This record gives sequence, C-alpha cells and structure tokens, in this order.
Amino acid sequence: MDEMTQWRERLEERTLEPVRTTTTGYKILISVLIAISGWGVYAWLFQLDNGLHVTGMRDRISWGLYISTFVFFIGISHAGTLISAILRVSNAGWRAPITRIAEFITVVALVGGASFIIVDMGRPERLLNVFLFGRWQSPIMWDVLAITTYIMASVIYLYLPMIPDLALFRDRLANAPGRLGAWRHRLYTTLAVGWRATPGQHRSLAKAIGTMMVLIIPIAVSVHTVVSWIFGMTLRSGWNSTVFGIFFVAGAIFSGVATLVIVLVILRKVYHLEEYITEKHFVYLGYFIASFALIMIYFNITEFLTKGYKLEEGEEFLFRQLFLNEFSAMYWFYLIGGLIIPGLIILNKRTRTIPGIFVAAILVDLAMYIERYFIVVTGLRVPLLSYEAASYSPTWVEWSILASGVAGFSLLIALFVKVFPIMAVWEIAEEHEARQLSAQPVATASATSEVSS
Amino acid sequence: MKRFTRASIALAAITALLTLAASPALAETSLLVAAPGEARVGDTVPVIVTVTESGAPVAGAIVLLSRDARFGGVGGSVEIARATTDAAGVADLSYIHRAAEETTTLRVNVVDSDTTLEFDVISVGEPEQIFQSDFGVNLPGLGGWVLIALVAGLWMIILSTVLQLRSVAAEEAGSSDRPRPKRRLLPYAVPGVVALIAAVLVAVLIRNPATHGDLSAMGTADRVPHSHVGDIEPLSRPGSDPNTVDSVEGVVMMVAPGLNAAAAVATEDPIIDGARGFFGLGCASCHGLDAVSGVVGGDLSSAVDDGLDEFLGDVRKGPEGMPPYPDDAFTDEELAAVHTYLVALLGE
Repeated sequence: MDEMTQWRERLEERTLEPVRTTTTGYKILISVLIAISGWGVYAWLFQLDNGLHVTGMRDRISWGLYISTFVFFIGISHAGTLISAILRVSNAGWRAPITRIAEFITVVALVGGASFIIVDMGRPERLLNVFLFGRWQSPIMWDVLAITTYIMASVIYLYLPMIPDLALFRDRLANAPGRLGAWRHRLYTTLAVGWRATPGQHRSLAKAIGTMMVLIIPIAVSVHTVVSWIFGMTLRSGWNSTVFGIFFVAGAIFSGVATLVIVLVILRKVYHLEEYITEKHFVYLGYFIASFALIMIYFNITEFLTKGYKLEEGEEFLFRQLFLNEFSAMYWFYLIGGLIIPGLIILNKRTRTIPGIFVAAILVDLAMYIERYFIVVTGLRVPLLSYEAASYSPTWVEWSILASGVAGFSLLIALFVKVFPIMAVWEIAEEHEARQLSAQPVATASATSEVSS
Repeated sequence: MKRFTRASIALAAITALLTLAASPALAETSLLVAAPGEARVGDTVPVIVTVTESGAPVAGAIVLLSRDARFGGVGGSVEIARATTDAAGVADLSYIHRAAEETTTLRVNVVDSDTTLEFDVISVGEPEQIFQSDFGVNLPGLGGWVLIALVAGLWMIILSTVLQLRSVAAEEAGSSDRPRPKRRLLPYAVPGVVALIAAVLVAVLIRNPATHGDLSAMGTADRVPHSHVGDIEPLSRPGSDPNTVDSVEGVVMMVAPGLNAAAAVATEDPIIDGARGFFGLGCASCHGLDAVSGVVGGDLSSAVDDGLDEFLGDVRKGPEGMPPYPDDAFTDEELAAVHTYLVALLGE
C-alpha cells in the first residue's frame, strides 16, 4: 500500500470515526441538550397557553430577545457562505477540511433563526396568512422570500458536495450491524443517488456546485440586507439608516466566522481532526475576524458620526441611552470587548494561537449577540411622543427559549456529525493530491540541480 | 380631475342669497355662493362666492370657508380655505371633500363682517378610503413584476441546479457492470419540492393585488377597518359634552398607548376610569376603538349583555383564542370599570 493510499485510508477512517463510535460523554451531552431544548419547548407551550403577556414584551417594546436571536442566528448562517462559497469561488485550497462544517452551521442557524420568528408570534397559526395574504409592499414579506430562498439554496449547497462522501459512507458502512446500520445504509444509498464517481457524474456535480456557489453569495448578502430592512424601513431613531444593510451583512460574516471557529475548535478536539484542521486554518479565520472587526469599527463610526453630527431629538435620546445610560455597559463591551480586543488578540503574534483565536471568537459572538439586542431594544425604546421611555426586561420564558435555541443549535450539530460526513473527504483528497503533484517536480528539479553542481 | 356625479352637476349648485344687517365695516353686504350640492369623498369641491355691497361688487374682501369639526375631543370652527375677491367681487375657493358623514355643513363669511352663509354638501357614492396619499415617486415600468421576475428567476436557477441530480443518477446505469439500478426517487423529489416552493412564493406575489387591492373583498372580521374619520369617537363619555375635559382625557389615553394604568389618576367617575382602562390596558388594540370591531378581537356587545361576572371570567380564562389575563395583569376593579364603560358605550 503506497503512502497516498495509506493517507486516504486514514482520512476516510477519521471521517467515519464519529459515525462508528458513540462515547458516554456524547450520550451525556445529547441528554443535556435534549433536556434544555425540552425545557424551552415547555416554556413555549406555556407562552402559547398564556399569551405573550408572559414575556417582557409589551405594546411599546414589542420586540426583544426573540427577534435579537433571530437576527443573530441569521447572521451566523453566513459562515457557510463566506468560508465555503467565497473560498470555493476563489479556489482557495485550504478551505476543504472546514467547508462541510461551515455549510452545516448555515443550515442549522437558518432553521434556528426562522423558528424564533414563529416563537415571537403570539398566534403562530397565523403564519399561514403570510402565504394567503402576503403583500409585496411589506418588508416582512421580503424576509419570507429571502429566508425561504436562502434555506433552500443552503440545503442544496450542503447536499451537493456531500454526495461523493455519502457514497463513501454507503460503501464503507454497507455491513454495519443491527437495525441502525441497515437504516443508515438505506439513508446513504438514497442520498448518494447512485454516485459511482464516473467522469460524467463528476461533470454534472461540478456544474451544479459551480452554479450554486455563485448563486448563494448574492442570496446570502440579500438575506441579511433584507433582515436589516425590517428595521431600516421604519422612521425610528437608531433604525432609520441607509447603511444598515451592509452593516448587518458585515456583522453577519463577522459573527459567522467566529461561530465557525468555536465549532471547529470543539469538533477538532473531540474527533481528533488535528491532522486536517490545523493551526493554519484558525489563523486564516482569525485574519478574517480581525479584518471584519476593523470593518465593524468603521461602520460604527460612520453610522453614529453622521447621526451625531446632526443629532435630531430622537437620536440624542438614543445616544444617551446607548453611550451613557441604560445600555452603555452593553455598548462599550461590544465595542471594546467584541471588536477591539479580539482584533488585538489576533494581530498579536503571541496570542495568535488556537486558544487565543478561540477566546477572540467567543468574545465576538457574545458582543454580536449583544449588538443585535441593543439595536432591537434601544430603537423601540426611543419615545415617539412625550411620554416616558418604556422598559423591557426578558422573563424566564424568554431566557428559557433562548437557552433552548442555543441548545437546539448545538444538538443538531452534534447529531449531524453522528450521521453525515464531518469533512469533505473527496475535496480534501483532491487538494492533497494536487499539492503532492505540484511538489514533485520541484523536488526533482532540486535534485537535478544538486547533481549538476 | 376629480369626478362629480351627474346629480351633483345637475344640482350644480346650491345658490343662495342672503342679506343680513350691515355691519359697521361693510354695510348691506350680501353673499352669493355657488357650489355643488353633492360630492364624493376625495373630490375637490369648488365654492364660488360673490360679495356685493348695496348691489355693487366688493373687491379685496377676504372670504373664509369653514366648517365645524371635532378632533380628539376638541371641537370648533375650522377654516378650510380663504380667498380675496377680485374686481367683480368674486372669490374662488375650493376644498377637498373628506367627510364620511352624510351631510357636511359649510360656512362662508367675510372677514370683519357678521355676514355668514351656511350651506350643505351631501356625500354620495360608495364609502371610500378618505385619505389618498399623493406621496411617492412613480417610476415608469417599476412595479411588483420586478420582484416576481427576480424570485421566479432565482428559483428557476435553483431548479436547474437540482435537476443535475437526474444526470448523476442516470450515469449510474452506465458506470459499471453492476446490475441495472432501480429507478431512484430523490432526483425527482428534490426538483419537485423546489418547484412547489417556487410556485407558492410566486403565487403569493401574483395574488397580491387580489388580496390587497380591495380590503373589503376579504369580507371577514379579520380585516374590518378600525374606524373612519368622521365616525363618532368612542373616547368621550357617552352622552357627555364632547368639549368637556373628560373627552380630552380620553385623547391623552389614545395618543399614549401603553400608558401605565397605575399612573393614571383615578377619577370618581367609573365610566371615565373604564374608558381609561379600555384604552390604557390595551383592550382597544384588539377590539377596536369602538369595541365592536377590531383587527383581532370580536364585538364586545355580547360581554355587556352577559354581565360583569361572565366578563371577568372571560378575561381571566380567555375565550375563543383571546389570551387569558391573570390577576397581576388587570385587577378586578379595573375590569369592572372597563365593563361599566362598555355598558355605557354599547348597552343602549
């Protein structure tokens, strides 16, 4: 068995490992996540039973944790778009080991985000009215169109490059014991759609992936732009902004990459993927984070300076609550703890390590969630008439459902790695072979040079 | 160009001549008014006033067109147009007919004169939206079809992509010497699902004019408008003088939705407290300003008929999809006041 075959065999085994073995720790994790998710479902049923009165939302501050979480989840869904689609379009070879996880984060986050819209509805059965009476003049309708399209495109974009790996699982797990093994074999056989790696199949698949990787980039950009327009199309102080679309997209990519780093660090450690997901990947992702931290700082300046220079009455109230009063701790944590410090951690060579970048990513995600929260709440809090500002404080129901959302997100990823190929084996192998081939002539030339000298 | 009914043109005009006792400034002043007797809501109604003094035209006199109006519980004469007479003593005025009531009484008078003439304009035609905004920039060719084309185009590309699955599956048959594989469902199911979702989204957009061109076409309680300008405001205590302080308090409650009920000072009048509760606690946001038709909630007339105990029980338990409100949301005293207000409002 030559070295290349051995390497390939090792790669396949490593990818199959999560599917083949289930540790006690995994079972405990799943149990805990199911318990938290279940508690959230109970809280939601309680809310359905008693009405939105059990939340902290009222008529004046009618959006809170739910909408913040929706925006945050839609934001982190950009992980897959950036890392997978943009790097695939630019043919960046280093992307191969991390694209699958990025694409899966996208799908799970979108499902999670969309479900928070339903949670936010006091009468969720009225969701059907969107389709019965949807009107194109409404930004809510634009959101429905954009998110539905993005979910479908993301699922297809996750599925298409997975087909060769599903065929691998079909073949390698054909003799898996028990009913579960038979069930999995049927699943892989169905999903692999008869993949035999023929040149014709490769051509068809490459064509489909090529179309989707280009298409999904504008769809993803449009999705978070449209999400921002739910706010930006109003005349509310803090939301009435022309840069909200691109501001939200930048924040989405920023938090999406941070989430990808967090998930990668955990999966790499748990499933021993160190050979494939190396420090180089984290450093490159770290550079993305640092760049986007600077972009976000720039957007903060341009957003608040243009408003502050004119300082209309509502904006003054907004600035006071954001920079000096009720929300100042959140804002300054976001700016310093979520934008400046992560940037410094990554730009400093000594802290530009996997643990350092992991910490930076956690700070970024925390800060971006807080940013979504204060955008939603501070905008609604500015009084439109001369009455006192309303207050909002999430209740146990909202916190429970938020926890359930995070647990559900983790649960779906944990279940995914038990069923589907965690890495794009065929893409990693292609990239590895291409690198080996390109390295050989150089070695030969070098040897020739030594002989002649 | 605004429309006028044939009848209104035929009536073209109520022409009236009124001679009143001369004021010190303008002796023997007479007003001759020509205006349509009927108008549709939204029409621009011309009002031509000729001012004469002892039979001679008065040039440079300022003529006011006004009507009595009430908004937010405050009433009085509201000037809606003014013009100066020309050499022939003619002042050319006009106003947009906005009133939803059957008859609008308008008043013409000359500044610095006691001479006043009142005349009626009758509203005709189907009830229409009262305010039609002239705002907006109409870009030729830009409309909902652009969005439909964009969505349809995007989904067509997605559909063409997933159709490649059929090619992948078809290649399997010729890939090896394996037995011919059975027909696979997934390469057809996935494009089918994509096509279905695309069709639904496009259908929603195409149906948009049908579902929103005419709200009344929906014809269900879900879509009944709250109120029209000109409707009797439910804010004032039934039977009370609309210009009293009671009514003004009602307005304060209306403009400050969400006003903490505890912050409102209780009065000695349970009807006023009840009105305050009805708007301040949020009942009106579902059941409508007049408590008989809301976007969400139903007609509360039945609650009046059923009595206080049942009313309290309904609010606490939440009948027919209404969320139940526990004791810490509203007290029984607050609800009793709301009930008293509803009885006064709807009981007759």
